[in-house]
Amino acid sequence: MTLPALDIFDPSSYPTRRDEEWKYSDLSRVLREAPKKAMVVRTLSELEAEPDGFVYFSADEAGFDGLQQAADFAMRKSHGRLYIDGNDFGDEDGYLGYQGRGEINLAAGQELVVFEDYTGAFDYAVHSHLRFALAEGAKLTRVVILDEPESAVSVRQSTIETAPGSVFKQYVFSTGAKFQRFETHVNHAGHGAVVEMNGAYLLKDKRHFDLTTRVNHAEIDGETAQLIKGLVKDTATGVFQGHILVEKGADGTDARMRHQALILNDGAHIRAKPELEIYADDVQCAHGNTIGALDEEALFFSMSRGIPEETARAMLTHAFVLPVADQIEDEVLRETVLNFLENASEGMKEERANAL
Amino acid sequence: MAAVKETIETVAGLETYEHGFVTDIEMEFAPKGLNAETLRFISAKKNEPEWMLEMRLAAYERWLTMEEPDWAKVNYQKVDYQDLYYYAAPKKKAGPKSLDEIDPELLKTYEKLGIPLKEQEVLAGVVGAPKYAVDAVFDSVSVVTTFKDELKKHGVIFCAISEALREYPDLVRQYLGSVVPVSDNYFAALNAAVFSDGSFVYVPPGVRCPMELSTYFRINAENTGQFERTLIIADKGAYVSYLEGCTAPQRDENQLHAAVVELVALDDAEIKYSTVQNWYPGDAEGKGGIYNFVTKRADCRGARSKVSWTQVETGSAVTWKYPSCILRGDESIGEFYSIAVTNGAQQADTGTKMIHLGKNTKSRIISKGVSAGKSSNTYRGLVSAHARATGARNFTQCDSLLIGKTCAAHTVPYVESDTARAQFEHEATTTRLSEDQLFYAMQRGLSQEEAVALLVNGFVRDVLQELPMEFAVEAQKLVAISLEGSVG
Repeated sequence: MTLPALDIFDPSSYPTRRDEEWKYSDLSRVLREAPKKAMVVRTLSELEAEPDGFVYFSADEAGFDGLQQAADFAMRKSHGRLYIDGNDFGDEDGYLGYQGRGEINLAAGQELVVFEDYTGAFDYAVHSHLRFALAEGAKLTRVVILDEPESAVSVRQSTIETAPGSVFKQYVFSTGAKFQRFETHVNHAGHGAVVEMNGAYLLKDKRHFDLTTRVNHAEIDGETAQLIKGLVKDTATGVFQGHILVEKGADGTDARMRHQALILNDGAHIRAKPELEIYADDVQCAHGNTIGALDEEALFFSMSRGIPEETARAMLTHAFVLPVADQIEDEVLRETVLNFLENASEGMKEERANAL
Repeated sequence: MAAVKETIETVAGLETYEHGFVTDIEMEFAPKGLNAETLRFISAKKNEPEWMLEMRLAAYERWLTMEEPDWAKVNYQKVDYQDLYYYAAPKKKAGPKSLDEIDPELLKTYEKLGIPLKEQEVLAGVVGAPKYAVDAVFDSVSVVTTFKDELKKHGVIFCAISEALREYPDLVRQYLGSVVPVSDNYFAALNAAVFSDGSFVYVPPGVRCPMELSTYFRINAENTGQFERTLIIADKGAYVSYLEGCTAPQRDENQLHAAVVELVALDDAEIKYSTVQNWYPGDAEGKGGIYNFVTKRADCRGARSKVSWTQVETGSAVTWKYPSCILRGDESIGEFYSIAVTNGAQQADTGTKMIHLGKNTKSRIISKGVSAGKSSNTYRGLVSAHARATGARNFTQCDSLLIGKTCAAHTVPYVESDTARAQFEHEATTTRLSEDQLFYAMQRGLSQEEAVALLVNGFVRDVLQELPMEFAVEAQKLVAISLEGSVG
């Protein structure tokens, strides 16, 4: 499996809509020229276990050097909880570019919870690539919040190598950006390995978010489950591209993919491509995809109980994406995500109120 | 013991592709290869109006600038477009066409294929049996169209498109290329340049076509491409049901069938288009067989119009086909029911597009793919709603069934919505034939092959029900035959 060799500083490497994998997200149209290379001075942050039980790792400007040490430290000192804080600051005129790679290897039986929190300001274009390799029986939980400014261009790719008996769980939450793509490639080792990839997005204004996942089942008895929920309003665009490949001989594979999206007003866009590619016969694979509007009956019911319409809308919006967050086992992270979603749902409401 | 006899016949039919014979008949060809001269030759042969030749030449110019699409999940040896005959017709005497003047070899061919070309033959059947009119296309020309006169009494025009170009040029000009423009895609451009024959149907306002119309396509000559062009127009409040069947001889080289079918439904009109596609699929190793590269599209132009595509795809070495509906009229309805069965080394990449433009438009997609042997079967579809398509509804169900360890089944749906007032649902599953069900059926005394046929027919039943009755029976048999040798 090869990732498109994207170099944020080389416009000739930008994918276009003619590349099937980038059909709905045309980077070359958003970034017409290479962003300026920022002078980045990287100092490794002091590793310390924070009071809330996380080891803090600063990944500003896509600096992921020393990620493995931080993960090792977290596994020694804080029961395997690592907080990756990525802050990207751009320019006010023209894009500043950042690009970085990082890698975490988990040895057999190791467990790690990674919380990635990406924020920023002004105009920046960032491209990062993280690689996670799980040895047998290892468990990685990845909770990602993409809380980037409306001006940001961000492409975050990751590759996950699993091993027999390992568990990989991912939860991605996003409010989008000018152009935002979160891409996960999983090599599924089967033999009891479990992969869960969930996510939710709440997009407004002109924001664009693209959640792309690809899972390759090359071995027997692998399990994959996906639940992605999304809401769009104004002229925002939500893209979901899920691809599950079951190679020849990968019998006993159980793969399920579900994408549900709500469009809150005319003119907002949803683009979905849930794809199954299957070369083995003893498998169970299914995908479902629904696109619709907020349930008018539920809205009416809430209003008939005396809840103002706008509050009812925010409630239902929030309730729609809640099931994704509810699955997060780590309590601190679940709370963090629920807060993020509540704020995001409020954000989905306010401008509508102004419009009325 | 009718049932026993039928079983014996079915089993005998299993041995080979039963339509694989060649008709030995004197043919007339255009010079091999493709250039402007070829187009002039075809146009002159058919006595076409000048504008038609111009359209062909423009399409050819356009085609030269285009590239063959490669996004489908199919692999095949590229066609050498200069090594083909673009026109092949059985030699015939001049004068009015009557059945007596047709070469007896040709008549025998259709007899063998079970296609009634003599009107009295149809009538000689069981009293009250439904009639259906046939347009028989042999390589590049239509040899005969039955029940033309009776249909004319009702105002229905049913004839070969080359005849329509001569008799009803204005009508053809108004609609030809209005649904599938010349520049639509590589194969559509090629077709527009070199198309030779196909059917033309016009049903006037308020008329319910009194019988099923059908066209039977037969490829016979070697190194010949068939370029079918069909145009069906249902005027306001009209109804027509149309059926298309196809077969070809068994040959070692691949042959090309690049068709364009355009349907236009005006206000309150309904068109039901069914296809039973049984081109020669090539042998189990993938040698020979037809390349079926087809563009089919319906324009639900009028309010409350309805188009329903039903297809049973069992033949062809490679299928590239996406019958689509443009739901332009308010409250128009598009339906797509498909069974695609692949066995041996067949490859099919097929599906539909439902493009919702009008208000309260509805579409339904039921696709059943069955893969066996070393074949590959892909469902590829698009459902989209424009921002103005408020109240659009779509339901899609794609189920794939895998028989054996070496076949493949893919589902590639694209769903695009720009309105808050559309509701789209898509479900897809992929599983293999259930061992338990197979065991149960065999325990009741069915052979393994019969049990597979039974279960597969159950799997595809939702779609079979949509076919006109006579063809549902044929299609059911076809599905069983196509899967012959897929188990054990």
